[in-house]
Amino acid sequence: MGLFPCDFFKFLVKRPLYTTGFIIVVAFIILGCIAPYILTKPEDAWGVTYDLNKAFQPPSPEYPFGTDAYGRDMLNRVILGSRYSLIIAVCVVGLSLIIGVIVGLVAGYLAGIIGTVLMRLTDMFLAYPPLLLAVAFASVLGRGVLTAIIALAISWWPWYARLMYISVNSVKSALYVEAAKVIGLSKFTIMTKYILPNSLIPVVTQAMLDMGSAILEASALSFLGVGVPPPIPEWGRLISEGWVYVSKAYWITFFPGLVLLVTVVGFNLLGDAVKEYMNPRLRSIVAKR
Amino acid sequence: MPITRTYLAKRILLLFLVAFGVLIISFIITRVIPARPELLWVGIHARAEQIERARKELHLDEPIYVQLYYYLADFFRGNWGVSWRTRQPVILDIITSLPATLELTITAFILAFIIGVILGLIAAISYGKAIDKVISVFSIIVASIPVFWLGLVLQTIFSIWYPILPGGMRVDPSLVIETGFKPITNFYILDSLIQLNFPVLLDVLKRMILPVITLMMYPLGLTIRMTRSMAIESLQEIYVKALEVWGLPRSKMLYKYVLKNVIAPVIASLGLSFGYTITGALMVELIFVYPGIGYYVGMALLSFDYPAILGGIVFVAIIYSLVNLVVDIIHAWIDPRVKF
Amino acid sequence: MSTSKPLLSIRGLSIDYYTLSGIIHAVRRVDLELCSGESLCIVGESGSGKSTLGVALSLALPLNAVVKSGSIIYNDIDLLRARRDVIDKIKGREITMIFQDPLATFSPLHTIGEHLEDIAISKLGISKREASNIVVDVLKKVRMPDVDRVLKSYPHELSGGMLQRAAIGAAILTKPKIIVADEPTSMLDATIQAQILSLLKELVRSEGTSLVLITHNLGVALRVCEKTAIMYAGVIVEDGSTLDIIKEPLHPYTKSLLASIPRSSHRVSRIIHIQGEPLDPRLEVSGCPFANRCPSARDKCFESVDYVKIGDRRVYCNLYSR
Repeated sequence: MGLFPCDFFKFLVKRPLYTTGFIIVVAFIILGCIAPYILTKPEDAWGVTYDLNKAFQPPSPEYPFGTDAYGRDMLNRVILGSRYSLIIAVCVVGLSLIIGVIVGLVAGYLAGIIGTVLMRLTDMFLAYPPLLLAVAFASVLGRGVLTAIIALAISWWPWYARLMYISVNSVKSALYVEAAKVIGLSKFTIMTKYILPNSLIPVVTQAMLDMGSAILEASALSFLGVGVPPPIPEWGRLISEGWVYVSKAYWITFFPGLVLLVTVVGFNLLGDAVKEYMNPRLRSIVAKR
Repeated sequence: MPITRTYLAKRILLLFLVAFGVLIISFIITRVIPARPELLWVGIHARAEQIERARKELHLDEPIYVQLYYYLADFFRGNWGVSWRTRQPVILDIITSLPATLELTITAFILAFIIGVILGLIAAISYGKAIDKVISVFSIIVASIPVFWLGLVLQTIFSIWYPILPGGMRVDPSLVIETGFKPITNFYILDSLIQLNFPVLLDVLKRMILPVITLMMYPLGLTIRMTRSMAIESLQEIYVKALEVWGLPRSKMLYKYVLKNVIAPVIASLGLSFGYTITGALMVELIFVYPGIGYYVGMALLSFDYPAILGGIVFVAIIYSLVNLVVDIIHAWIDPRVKF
Repeated sequence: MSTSKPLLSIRGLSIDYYTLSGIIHAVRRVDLELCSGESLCIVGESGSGKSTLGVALSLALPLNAVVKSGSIIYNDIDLLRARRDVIDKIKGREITMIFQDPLATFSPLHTIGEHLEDIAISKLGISKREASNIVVDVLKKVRMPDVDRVLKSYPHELSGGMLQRAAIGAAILTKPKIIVADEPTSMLDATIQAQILSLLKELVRSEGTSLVLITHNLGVALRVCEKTAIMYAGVIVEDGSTLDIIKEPLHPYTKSLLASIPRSSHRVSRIIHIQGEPLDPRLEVSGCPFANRCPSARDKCFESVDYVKIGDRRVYCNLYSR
């Protein structure tokens, strides 16, 4: 892991596809961070504008992504929307990671009855198809950025818990853990200083790869009306706002979805790059003669 | 193939446990979390006496374990509440709309699996060459497309702008009346075949094209990626080299030995794939006005019809668990190393 | 060396691997001969190229390996340049291989019986029923306990020793002329190692099969093979009868190899190891590859070396040239 940045970039550069993914992700993150400061028409983005004269303008140099039913510039809305996607995705992954890691660590290391109970609990949550549990919670908790994050995190943590559990189990039997036990360190110390850092790696890698899916699911929630409330220009919301007008003003739905697609593709490409980089076998396969 | 009776028994026990857990969780969602659960049960248009009656019905003034008891009793008795939107018992709505969703999801899923495995294998065999790159990029894009957006885009292009395919509903009502079609099992494909009603059959199939294409994209992308990476890894394995060294003909070697080793983990992931298909069906049915469970739950969401929302979700969760059970059993049958 | 024509003749073989970290020269200008019924051991550390040599002999080189030069002559056929149909008759039938990891040798989802029967059916052209009989016979020959159960078992259900016996069975099914065994016992327990090696030795002796045994362990060579070739950095640095080499090692590398084996007979004050680093396999070398670590190296050693024949033996070292 110490050879992370330099080798990884060398690896990336040789593969234009993965480099594209990396660029997309970086662009997305930067965009999400600076979005509020680069808006040309902030009132449009925040949803304050209400100008029916400018409504339903097709894409043009002045409105590259067109305008929506209230005359708001779509480009601005999409740019601001990236910020919400970024925030929600990071919070969801972060929160579910924390919960999942704790549950998985305790279940894996302490095992026994605690372990079984915790893992059965995890299985109960995993019995729901992805997203459906989040939909159920979100519908009851009501709309809002925070409730969307909580609802999604509730349906995501079991994945990390299970991953962590498996990881801990394989680390548990390693020699250095035996050594620590023999020296007489307390269970808590062993758990936090030895097991935790080593079993964390596959889980955190997976979490980074999952950011794309988190963005997708958040926008699905908003599309269904149970995610962020109007007038927040989250991409899923924008797509559903344009749903009714799709035959005559396709751009309201089309552009947010396109940007969403590109972003998720970027994350998936980057995820693949990391996976291939970490897998020594894949790396040494056939070089062209 | 150690599908012993103990294995099956354990799995079924686990299924019940998990279903029970699903119920507990939905109990928490419907009764514990909301401040006034009776409002959810009764609807926004209810009058004061109805609300009071609901409070008594749901035993909301009594301790939690009593509530839980009645909740579970209701569930098993089939009392899942009444949908405000349709004014029918939720359980009835669900059972009538299930076949439509099954027709859609099973078709999409099978297509995604078959095409996905074939493409994944082609990509793996031609690793590094152009066709592999094309398939890989295709699979990544397809696995990143938001399902709801794709549905809208396809509907707009192929039903509205260039109307070559129908963009909604399950069957043309005027056709039904003309030809005297009667839904018996509610599986329209089956029903129209039984009644030898080919115009309706054709119509039903035509209307399935766009939703199925939309629905199958995500599982297709996942399957291609998974098959391709499993196949590439498998081809690196030592036993493949051993088969080659033992002089077994390459085609026999590939089809019999490597294929099985590649399919096994792909099948293990089928359950999850199906889960994504179900979730996708939610949005696809809404967009294409396809009267299945997805449409039902989707409309319930948009109109805050809580009994329907929760009844639908619990039902889907149980189906999903069943599907996972079947997938796990098939996986254990193929891969003898699987233990409980 | 006997006066009869050798069964297998390797001349000037050089094999490169093309990898992402560069071109690796795994085998450099190797000459070897194998006579009928002979057991030859190739001894070397990891990275010496011995496995590549073995895989080349079994005609199973991976796609990123390139034969830069040389030939492998078997029955007057150059195996490296022969036609596909000619190779198919030899591969898996007259030349077979046994791998290091017995568990990885078999597909985890198929029974041992399936593997062996498939080999029998496709290489011997017999029916399924005949195949099952032959397979049972072969397993009895490798002294497999509980043959019926093993045939129905999956690889993960059997121990390493049993799996390796099955692998040996798979190798002798077609009554091959040459068996290549790549470290067949390194992954087994010590007691099982001895059993498998004796089994191997007995089988090749009774059938008159030639054996090429690849190992890093000189003790194994002593047990099984009459002849040994010591390999370092892709080059054969010494070869001859096993006993001779061990009693009187000629090449400095062989000497240090023997010296670094801790002996129980006298007290060891410190562990002797060979100083220096192994040669980077990406480097082309005209002189001796061991020169940078050799205590007796001279300037000439870095530029050019030649094989010197001493009786039945051969050394790749300037120390012995006239």
